[in-house]
Amino acid sequence: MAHSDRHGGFHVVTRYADVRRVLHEPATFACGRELEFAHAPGRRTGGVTVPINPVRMGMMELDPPESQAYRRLVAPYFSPKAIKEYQPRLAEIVTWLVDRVIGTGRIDFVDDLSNPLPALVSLDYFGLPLERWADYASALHKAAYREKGSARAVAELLADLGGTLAGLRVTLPERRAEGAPDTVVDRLLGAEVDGAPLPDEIVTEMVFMLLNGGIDTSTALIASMFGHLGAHPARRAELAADPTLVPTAVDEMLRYFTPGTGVARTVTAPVELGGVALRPGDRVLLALGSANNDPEMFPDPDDVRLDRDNNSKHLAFGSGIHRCLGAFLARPR
Amino acid sequence: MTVLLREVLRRMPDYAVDESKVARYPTIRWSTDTSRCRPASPG
Repeated sequence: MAHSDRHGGFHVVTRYADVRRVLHEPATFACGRELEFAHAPGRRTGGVTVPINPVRMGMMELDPPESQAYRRLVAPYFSPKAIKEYQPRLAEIVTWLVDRVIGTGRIDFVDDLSNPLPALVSLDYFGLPLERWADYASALHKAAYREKGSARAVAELLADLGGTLAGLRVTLPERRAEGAPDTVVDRLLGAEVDGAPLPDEIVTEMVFMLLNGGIDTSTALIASMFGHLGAHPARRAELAADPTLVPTAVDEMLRYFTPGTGVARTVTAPVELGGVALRPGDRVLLALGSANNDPEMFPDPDDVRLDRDNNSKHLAFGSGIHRCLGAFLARPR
Repeated sequence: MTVLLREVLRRMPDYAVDESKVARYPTIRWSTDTSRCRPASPG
């Protein structure tokens, strides 16, 4: 555990066991943005980032039972079965991207693969227009790296997304009459809570959260993975010779490069963590990348081992009730 | 990722990286060594 006084003060949780424990005790370590404590009247900022995100991240920044109600709405679309049914389409997009450049003898993994693929797959799977992939990806990369102008880029993306979703809401009855299968977006647009449709702003927030979770993280990991395998041709040859190692290799890349490096929680009750007494209202930043580098869990963590036997225990997707919904889409087996 | 990795290994297994163009996205690595951080207050 470490501590920083910045952004109102927060503890940094670095050990695997401590990080996993926090993720599995949602009643004690909350995600909500506006939490109230008896000893500190008035509302307090929470959320899952330090500093707080300018935009609420859908159910990621809600606590049970509300978070689970929203999660249940879309969870069936991220089940192993649903993702398996999507495999032919995913393979088609991958092949198309490689086909575009294979004949040139040169490829820019970022521009040609790692940037377009996650954006195209996310938009396609969620049921959004593919032609906007570059704009959406650009705004989300800027936001992830807190580049200058990122707040404006995200605001523009949200406005664009809101307009697109409003249009899709209008045409939803038509699609259903034609027997078109529901997409993730259609599911949200058609969902009701207490007999009323989900408000547009909630649908926009949910879809933004899904895009944000799936695009920049995957782009970073794909680029890191191919960079690493390019620098280690023996490992790449090992994989090429034995493709059954690929799933374990992807998990090792997720462990080693952990694209989402941290997630925050707010303490709701007195608790001891890593030898530190925490009080309600304290903020903790879970260093996921550090947890995945913990030698007590992953011996010789700086060594990349494509056949590491426990690397699927990594926390790159989080763990517990808020585990990344898109894990099966990001890591299809 | 698995679908993409298999496709790349199958179709361009001997690719070589132009190191001068790497680092478009900074790689961030974490360590569990917190010796350079201020220790958390025990209470």
